[in-house]
Amino acid sequence: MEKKKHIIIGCGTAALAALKQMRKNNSEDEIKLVTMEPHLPYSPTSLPYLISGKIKESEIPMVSDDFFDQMKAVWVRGKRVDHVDTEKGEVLYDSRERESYDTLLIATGSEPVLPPIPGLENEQVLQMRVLDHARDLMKRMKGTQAAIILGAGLIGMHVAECLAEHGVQVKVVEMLPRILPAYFDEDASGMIQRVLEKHGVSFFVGRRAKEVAWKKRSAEVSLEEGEPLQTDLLMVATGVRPRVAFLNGSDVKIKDGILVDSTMKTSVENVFAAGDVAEAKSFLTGEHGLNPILPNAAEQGKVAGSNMVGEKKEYSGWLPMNTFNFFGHRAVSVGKILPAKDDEVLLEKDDKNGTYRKIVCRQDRLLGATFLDTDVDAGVFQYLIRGRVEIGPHKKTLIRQPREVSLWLMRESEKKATVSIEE
Amino acid sequence: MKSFYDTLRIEEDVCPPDCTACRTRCVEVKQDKGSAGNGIREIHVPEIGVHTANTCNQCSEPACVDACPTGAITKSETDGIVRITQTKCLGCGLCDLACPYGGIEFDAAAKKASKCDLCDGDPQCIEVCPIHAVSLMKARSVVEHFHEDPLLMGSSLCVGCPAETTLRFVLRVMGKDTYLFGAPGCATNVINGMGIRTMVRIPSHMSNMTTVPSTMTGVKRYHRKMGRDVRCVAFVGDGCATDVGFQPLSGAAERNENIIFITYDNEGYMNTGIQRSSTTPYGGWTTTTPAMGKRKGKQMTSKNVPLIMAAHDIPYVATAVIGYPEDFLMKLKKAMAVKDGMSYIHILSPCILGWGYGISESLDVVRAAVDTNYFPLWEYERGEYRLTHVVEKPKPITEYTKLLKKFAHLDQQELDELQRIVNKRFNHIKALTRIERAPSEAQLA
Repeated sequence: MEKKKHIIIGCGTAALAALKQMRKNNSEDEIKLVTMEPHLPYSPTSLPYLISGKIKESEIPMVSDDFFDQMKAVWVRGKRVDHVDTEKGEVLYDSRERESYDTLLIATGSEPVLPPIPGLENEQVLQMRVLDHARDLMKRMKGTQAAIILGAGLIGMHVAECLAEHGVQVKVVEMLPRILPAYFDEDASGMIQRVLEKHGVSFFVGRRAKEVAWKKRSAEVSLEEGEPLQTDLLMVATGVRPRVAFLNGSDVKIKDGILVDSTMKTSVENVFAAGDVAEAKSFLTGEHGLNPILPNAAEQGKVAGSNMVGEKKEYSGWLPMNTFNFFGHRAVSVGKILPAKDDEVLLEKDDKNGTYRKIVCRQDRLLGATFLDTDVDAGVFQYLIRGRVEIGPHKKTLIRQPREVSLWLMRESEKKATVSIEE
Repeated sequence: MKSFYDTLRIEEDVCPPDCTACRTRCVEVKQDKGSAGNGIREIHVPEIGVHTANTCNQCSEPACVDACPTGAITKSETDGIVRITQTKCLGCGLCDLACPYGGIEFDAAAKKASKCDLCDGDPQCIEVCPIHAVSLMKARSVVEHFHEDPLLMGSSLCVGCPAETTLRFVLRVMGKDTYLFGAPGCATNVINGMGIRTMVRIPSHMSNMTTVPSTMTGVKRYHRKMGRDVRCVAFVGDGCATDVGFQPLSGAAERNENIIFITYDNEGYMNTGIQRSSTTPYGGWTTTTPAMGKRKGKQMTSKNVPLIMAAHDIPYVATAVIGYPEDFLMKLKKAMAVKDGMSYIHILSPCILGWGYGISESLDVVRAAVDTNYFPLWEYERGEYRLTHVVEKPKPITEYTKLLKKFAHLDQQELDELQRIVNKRFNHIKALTRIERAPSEAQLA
């Protein structure tokens, strides 16, 4: 068979997963990865841990120096793709070079968004997405007394913890009425907030920043109501969006992200997308949407990699899930966090010990689970949801002994699974 | 070739309530090595009577590896073990979120993930389990003994029939210079092929049921005369071995011919329409021992052929099932090593159609047969009987019979009778294992 040429734009989790999958399928095709990063591939997930000193910078690369040689792939760094000409099947680099491809994988990930607040265009504003951001913050946080973080998403919360651990007075401003709004319900968010508050982080929840005024390196953040806040350090972590600007004017269809089908193919026949940049269908609703989390990127990259070399693989849809570890505590959520009208909720809450357990079911099937400081194997809950495992008669036991019962249900289901696949 | 690796097997739902032996030991071992965490954990849910343990599967495509943001988790290509490099571990917990099988232990307080590393090939939990529920399944060391596959693809045996797998296993272990012998039976299709297609790439010969051992004798003796060391292996059903061709088999054993005779026992004449044979068990349904009205399947007990073969005092006799491949491999190796006489291996080989079970359940059926002591795994080696797979807590026979439609008609009384027969036979073989090897003449002097 004739060798094809695949270009992968990006070098994050999805891109690497696709590369590995293509080689696993014994493809001998030519593969080139192009990244604008100068560093060996790393995940933005590592950055807060770098700041907290949990890990050394030399340890964060996801692969070793010789990985691309082993994979017989060409790795081009420090180069940006400015445009994709889908008609000719070419990518255009910032250096004005053109390069043709047989299939293209877009795995450019996401980029931080700056909300339209006057004063945020200042170069003192910190963000947290790439290694240079982390290096910036590490330089700046020495000797810093107070910091403000706009946005109480996972990135914001991680950085809040790191700074608080370093003795910095952290204030978090969140527009929505609770912290970690995408991953936890009101009760759980409240409990997490109280733990963080105990460690010196203060919150301004349901409050909007109106303007930022700079005085040399320090800033004054005025809120829509109440006293303005003073800070030495301002970080914006209000969210991310797919990095798709370079596709303007191409035939690749974009809604919030790049729309893909269940094989990760875009609206263009030989162009695929995976990871944060892709808008794939949700496992729970079947509707397209973004779910920029790492396990999702890995899975999508695998599916794309298979299909790009002609091995059929279907994506079953993304499931919201996350895990947040803070000051020795742990919060995890998998699947649906807020019940719909017909859903049943089982809840066990212990304010004294700070534990919280909640499962959302419809009839006999599990749809979502949230746990705070509960010893569980979170992935097993993902299994139960994705496998549509019947948990009906064991719901109550499940909430009482979530770890043990979920493992048992998983194993019982595994036994049946082997039978049904073959039949 | 695809890679095969060793994994831990934990017997389902047999743990003593409240036992934590495996986890306690695992934590100690990890501490001794200077790391923290744990790789195996008990599951006790008294409310639903569940007592078992869970550990990492060492998956072939581990989700934890894909989900790790720093590449701290890797799967070794040499031993297949999935390990965490602690210096690279963030403690982010994504591996735990990604693993659907509960193989990662995440400690939020210590901010570390840990998992089973099979103690680098010598799992310590096995040593401390009071009921021996944990064992290391050595796929790797079994597959290492494989030669090129002499069977081609696409046999005409029933879908899911374990006989093909068993024959393939035998021949892959035997390797070069093996001659295969068969007789009319299900495996005819494998050996002779259908129409113009055959499945075997090694010399093979089909005889009448009554002439297999004598044909083998001739071929073996001819090659020996010509100075060639070839292995003559028979793979025949119970109809041939234990009924129609039993006299010549006994004769070859009495002459102690250097052949390997393997019986795949499906407890009936499955190829001709599921008639009873002398190995059809008590209560078993066949078309000639029907279960209608007053008739309740076969009323006699089965003939214990491997024991009869052992009574011939040939160098090696064993029972085996494909569901315990390490045990099977060891026995094939021993049979192959015998150069001064005959080896006989008796295999329980379930028949999907004749026994009545699902096509994917053959291995469950043979394992249940072993775990209930219905078909104990033993060997007889030069005068000494040995149980090769000791079942610590034998399950009641109903755990076996419930899997099979051929026993569906049995009432409690008949099940009790079957249990009595199983116990009696097991005690018999157990008693034989206690007999000390007869002292040799030198020892007597």
